[in-house]
Amino acid sequence: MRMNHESLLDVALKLDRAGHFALDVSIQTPLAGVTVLMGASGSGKTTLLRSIAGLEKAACGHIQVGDVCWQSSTYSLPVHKRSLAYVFQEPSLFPHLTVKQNLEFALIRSVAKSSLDEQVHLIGLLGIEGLLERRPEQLSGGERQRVAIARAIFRKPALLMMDEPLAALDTQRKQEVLPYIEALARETDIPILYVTHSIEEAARISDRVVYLQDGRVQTQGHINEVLERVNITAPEFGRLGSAVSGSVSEQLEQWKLCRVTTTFGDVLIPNCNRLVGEPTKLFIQANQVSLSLSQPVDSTLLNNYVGHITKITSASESALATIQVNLKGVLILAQITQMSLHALQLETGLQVWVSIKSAALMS
Amino acid sequence: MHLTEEDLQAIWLTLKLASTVTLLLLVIATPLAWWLGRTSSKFKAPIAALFSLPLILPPTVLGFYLLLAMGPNGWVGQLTQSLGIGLLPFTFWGLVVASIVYSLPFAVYPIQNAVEQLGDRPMEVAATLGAGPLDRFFNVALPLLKPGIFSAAVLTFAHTVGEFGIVLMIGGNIPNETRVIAVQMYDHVEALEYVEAHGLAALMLAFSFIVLLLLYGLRHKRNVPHGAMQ
Repeated sequence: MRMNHESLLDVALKLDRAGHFALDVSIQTPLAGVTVLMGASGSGKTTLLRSIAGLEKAACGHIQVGDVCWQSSTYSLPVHKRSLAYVFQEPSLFPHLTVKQNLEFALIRSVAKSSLDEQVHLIGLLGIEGLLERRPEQLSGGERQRVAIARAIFRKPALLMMDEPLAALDTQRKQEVLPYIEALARETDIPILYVTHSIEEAARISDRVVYLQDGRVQTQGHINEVLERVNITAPEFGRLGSAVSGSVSEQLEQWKLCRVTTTFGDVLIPNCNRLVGEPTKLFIQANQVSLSLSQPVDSTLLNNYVGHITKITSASESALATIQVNLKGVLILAQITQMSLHALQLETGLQVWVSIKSAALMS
Repeated sequence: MHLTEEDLQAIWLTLKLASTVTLLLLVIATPLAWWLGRTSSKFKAPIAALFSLPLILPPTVLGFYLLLAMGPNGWVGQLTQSLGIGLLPFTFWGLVVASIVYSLPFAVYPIQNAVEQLGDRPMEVAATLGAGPLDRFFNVALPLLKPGIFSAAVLTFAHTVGEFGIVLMIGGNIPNETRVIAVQMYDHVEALEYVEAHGLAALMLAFSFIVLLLLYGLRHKRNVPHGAMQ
């Protein structure tokens, strides 16, 4: 068990690919929970992850994982001796081995390997019990990725690296695999470094986010703080939104709703099968949030709160503007049209009513 | 089909030669193909060109140079003499050496192709799962390269069975030592023994067809490119 809260992942790396791209990154992050490396394509997040793993031979600098040095100016631990596991973007099961043999490949070569109980639990958690005797070509993309994740965790690594493990899957498969990754992040105590450019993925699983731009760390912190500091609305980041922590406080059986209590108030959401008292996270898409200058009355909207505008981001070429509202310390993003922005004469500091049309329950 | 005692001897010798050459070539060609398939060295092109020369050189030209090199004044000859092996030309082992040079590209190409198709990824995956370099080579690369290595073995074997020019240059025509099927066949025709020639010719024809059938059958079966990560 590595629950030492003192341990840090301490990375300072440089990599210069003459002309095209330079990575110059320094990160110190707790070696616990899920750290998401986020950024646009070409920002260097995958290269950084590969460099930390030792797969980019040209990267120089130092890497300290807890009390083990992986790389210094005079020394580089070979990849196979680093206590890491890596889930690649595209499926990476060995085609000449069955699922079981793929898992054993990792077990045989690991120092810390997981116990039989843990293996059985993990296989159940990832829902791959029925696949063990199959060959990789007989699996769906989502199944392959789940097996690859199990194989990685069988190593009980000091650091689990995941490079956009959902990127090669279609939306439906993503929704199939993501809950497994959330469950893993909750149930194992293996620190995870997770690369993605999806805001929703980051919001769902991250404990903290490191945002990269042009090979450098632009900002880091809680996902909402990061979204506050950088303006990311490019389509590649997916749906814009905010993450909110809370807990289920009541089931309204009659209306098929449940009440989630958060720091800024209660949010009613439909169809949640959680127990009362369970901590949870909500992802509130920015386009599901609307603003008004007075309290909505006679409205069908159930979730209304009052707050202040803290930031307005708009680009002249877009019909939409992003408004950030502070609700009792929680930053919520709303996406509205430039036309509404103009009509209501919204500006920073103004008090507004925020209506949340829908929110998705995460882990 | 009528086969004489000499025919059977020639067949046996040919099979022995082809098996020996195939086995030795796989050991030589696999590391070479591995290097060629993965390197970005500036020496890659000249070395690939050098090893591919037997593809286009007339066997007599190649045989001539090999004969000079392995002869009493050639550097290979001097080496073999100083090692106490004697001279290689007109011996079985001389034929083996010449055949290895002659068939090298046929062994290297299929394996190099497979190495290039394999890419870096499987080796990276294996490394992140704790496999060291030799472990990666033997337990990941070799199994994934198996179809390429199999093609190389079949091609090398068949190519060695079918060679003629280089055998004449290096081996001559010594029964049980260097007289392989192709030479025996030539002797039959020279002596106007068409019946015997027919026997051997039909045998070679059937053999060649079966080899190609095997290769294409194998290729057809692999609708998923082997070695691709799943």
